[in-house]
Amino acid sequence: MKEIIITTERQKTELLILLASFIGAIILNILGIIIYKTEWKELYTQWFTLLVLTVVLYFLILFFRLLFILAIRLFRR
Amino acid sequence: MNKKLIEKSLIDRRSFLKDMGYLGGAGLALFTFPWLNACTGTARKEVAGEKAKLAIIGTGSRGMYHIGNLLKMQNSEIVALCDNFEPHLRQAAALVPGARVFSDYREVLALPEVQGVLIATPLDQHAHITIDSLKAGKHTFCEKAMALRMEDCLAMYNTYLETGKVLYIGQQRLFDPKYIRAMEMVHSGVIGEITDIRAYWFRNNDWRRPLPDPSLERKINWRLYREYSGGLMTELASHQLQVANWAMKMIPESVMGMGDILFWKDGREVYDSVNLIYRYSNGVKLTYESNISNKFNGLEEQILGHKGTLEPEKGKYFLEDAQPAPGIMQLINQIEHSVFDRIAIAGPSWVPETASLNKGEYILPRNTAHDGSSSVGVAGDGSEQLVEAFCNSVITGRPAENLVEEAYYSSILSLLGIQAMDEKTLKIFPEEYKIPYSRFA
Repeated sequence: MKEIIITTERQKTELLILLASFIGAIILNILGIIIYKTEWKELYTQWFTLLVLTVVLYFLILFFRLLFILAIRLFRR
Repeated sequence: MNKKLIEKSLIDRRSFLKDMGYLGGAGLALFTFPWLNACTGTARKEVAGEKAKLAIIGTGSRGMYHIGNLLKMQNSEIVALCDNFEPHLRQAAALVPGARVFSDYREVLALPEVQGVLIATPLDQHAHITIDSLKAGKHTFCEKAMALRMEDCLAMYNTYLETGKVLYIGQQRLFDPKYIRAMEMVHSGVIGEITDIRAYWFRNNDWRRPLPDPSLERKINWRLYREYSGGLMTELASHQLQVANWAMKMIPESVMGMGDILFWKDGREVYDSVNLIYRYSNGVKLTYESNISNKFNGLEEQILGHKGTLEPEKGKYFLEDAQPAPGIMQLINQIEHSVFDRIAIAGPSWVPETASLNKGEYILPRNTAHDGSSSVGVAGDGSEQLVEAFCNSVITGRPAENLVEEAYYSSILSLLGIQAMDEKTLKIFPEEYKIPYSRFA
């Protein structure tokens, strides 16, 4: 079986994207509180939703990244 | 604003039985619902180490249920069992091997060691056994409804007053923690002014018990015959009428209704489908419905106020102006709708509609609810607390204040409902059956 090496740089990139997803989730949470005039304590009471949203955003970004890579490869052919 | 009112009106979330005697906030509950004094921590301390010596008269399904609960309690000892149906007596004796067994209740009442008597016989026997028991100097617990006839209910009440002995009636919702909290919420205005009550009890079974012999039909299936039973009204509705009166702090002034033997046409004499309207003097109507050929709706007493609704059986309340869903959920729903509503995609929304449904809040953090199908009783319905309180009262000799009056009125109203259905007329609450009870001013 071929060994898959995840380089330090790749790990760093993925972690940065995950962090960006988490920040994006926080921003959405803040926007939701402002737009719908709900309580500011939702910044911490909705932590589980934030976690789920972080994961969803990460995989959404991953989906578009993979699409982009596929498009580039097809174009180069 | 409403949320603060809810928090302020609630007793401590820990078990009220353990902590009622120690919490300052419980004082209001004890004042408002004085029958609870029999099961506070203070009351328990007072009877610690003592046992109420009890006799059980009627060891059928409900009697066995009580025996099961009593055997778990430290403050009771069953010293005698009585039933005129030998198989029932035998099954009870197997659970309580040290108890003396009898088939004639009068022999039980003559036993000096019996301090308290628990009566779980068919309804037609409640009155004379209870009266005899009180006159024999025994503290008495009688299952609900009080009696099959109004005059017997009044006779039981008068005997209770005359003898000064403890009398309990099996209205266990008065001791059910979620009902107590629900009533606190009602009376403190959380749901606003009550404008309607809907109570119902739906089941889907014929209410029959297995018969070892066809000749025992009327003895075993007594609930189905007018000679012994008021049917759905006395066996089921009496609980829910008590809850409605408890919420309203008054009794209805009139009732009208219709009853039929609709589905179970098996020779029974009691209705298997009833629909009634009880009217309170302020115009609020209690709509009551019971049907035992469909279980979809289960059972409930919906107390509808102009600010919210309580469903104590399910243990939930719903505010008219519900707390909105978290902002982020509303935002996600909005994004989902703006994207997917324009695209024809088959299938349901992928985002749960948590932003739009009012699922209500639980009255208590730990909730027990039942679907109404049990004819015997369910865990957590207040029966254990009720029986434990009775045992405490037997030891101390102190009655549970207001409990008999609550049960009396629910029994009278259930019997009045039967009259209304039978006579197909509007029945006014008879003056001769009103008793002094300050809570129902």
